[in-house]
Amino acid sequence: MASSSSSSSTQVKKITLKAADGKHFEVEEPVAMEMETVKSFFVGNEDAMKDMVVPLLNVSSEHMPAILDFYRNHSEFRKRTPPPPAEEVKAFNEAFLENKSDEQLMEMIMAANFLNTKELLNFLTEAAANRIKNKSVEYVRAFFGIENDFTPEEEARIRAENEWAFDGLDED
Amino acid sequence: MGDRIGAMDRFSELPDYIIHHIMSYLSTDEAAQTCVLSKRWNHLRASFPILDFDQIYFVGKDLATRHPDFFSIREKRRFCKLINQFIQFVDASLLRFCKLKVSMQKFRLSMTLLDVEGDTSLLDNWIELAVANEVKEFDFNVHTDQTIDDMVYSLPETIFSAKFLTNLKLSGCNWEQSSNTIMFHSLKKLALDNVSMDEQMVQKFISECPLLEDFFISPAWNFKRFCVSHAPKLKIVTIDGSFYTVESIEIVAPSLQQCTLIHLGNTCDSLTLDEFRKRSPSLPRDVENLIIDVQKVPPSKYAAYLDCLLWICFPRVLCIEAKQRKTSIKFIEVSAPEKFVGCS
Repeated sequence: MASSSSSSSTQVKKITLKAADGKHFEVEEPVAMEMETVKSFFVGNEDAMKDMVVPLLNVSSEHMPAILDFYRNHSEFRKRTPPPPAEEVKAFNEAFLENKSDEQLMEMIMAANFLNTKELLNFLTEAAANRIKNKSVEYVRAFFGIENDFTPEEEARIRAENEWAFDGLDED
Repeated sequence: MGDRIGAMDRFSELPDYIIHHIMSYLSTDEAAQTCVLSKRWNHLRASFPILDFDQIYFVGKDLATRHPDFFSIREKRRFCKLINQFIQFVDASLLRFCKLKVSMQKFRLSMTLLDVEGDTSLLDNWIELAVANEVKEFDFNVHTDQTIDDMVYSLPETIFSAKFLTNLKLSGCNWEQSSNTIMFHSLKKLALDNVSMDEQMVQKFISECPLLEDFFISPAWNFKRFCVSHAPKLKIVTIDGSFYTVESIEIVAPSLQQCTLIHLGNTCDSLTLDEFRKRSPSLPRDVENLIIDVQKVPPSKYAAYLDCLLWICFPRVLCIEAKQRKTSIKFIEVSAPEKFVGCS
């Protein structure tokens, strides 16, 4: 085990990430480097630092397996020639979002923001947008946990100023 | 409920740009609705850098899709009133956004001009504000109703100094020759739909936008010679001749991948897609798709067209659209290069 660094030259190097609650995750280096936050941890430090544990202060271990799964699959999609059929990517993305509550989705958006990965962030923010499409104002407030700090008069005035935008909403 | 309160604490920290990012996936009206959520969201709505103004939200689908010629007097009056409300809304939203001094990702306008002369200073001012706020995507679609006003809006000179532009789409206006230097150093996509401008100006554009990748023009009014040159990054070219006056087309673009020439009239004698041959005679670059509509080209000219196209661009897919004369196509003899796969 001690000689792992010399004997593993043919293996993919691993980087250890530490989630906010202290749990460790061993991740293949190319996958870890998809995250700009991890990448910038090593910039200028190179090999000497590669066996250090990278602390991810804002990411809970609950979401790490799913996030890593996303990076692994999407980096494989990008590398593949010919590119994978759109249905395959779509199927993966849909399965990824299935059974994720609104709260889990929002938590993952915050994690993706912290990890600074454009692809995951774009994907999750679009998913969030899809969940609030054509929903009532009350629904959207509950979705984001927004406290309404308007007086009823203020709200009515702003709504009247933007009357054109309020047609055909579901009361859901 | 307990969960929700916990969520409230955490999500209230969502940074502005993440919320804007989510809003960018919503339709224009859905994004606008967020203004009533809370004071913070009302502010976020005001600073949202995608400014998309479409009269359809004000005048409604019915009036927007019918021609004003067929409006009753009452409908016409209503239409004018709603357009005026729309103008006031655009003006107020733009001014509010510009006070915040943040850069503008996109400005889109789609409206009917009821009084070109009267609206000119307003439109000029909107364009000036967008340019001053470093607009990146500019989509400007104004239509004049000829029964109301036979003038066409002319773009102001300010547009030439929009140096942050990456996408420019213009529709329904005049673009006159200017002595000004074109500052579109970042422009990647240029679409001119129903824009009247001359050949020299198009040429000047293409040669002065070094990053241009996608060029679209329809129709190419009053153009005799269409020449695209000095376009190192140009990948996609679409020219709709609309059966007008185009006599020759010459495209010199080493990165060309897709070329669509449609509605070329019977005046088009010469077609040259060069540079492929010049650059590397033994290893020509492939044009992935070449779509040419020769509906009105006399069959006697097909052979010359095809020969030139096949030898010069080595298209992988060649689609000749000549629906009325499909039978003629069969009799053309083409000396197909090795890479040529099929002809439809």
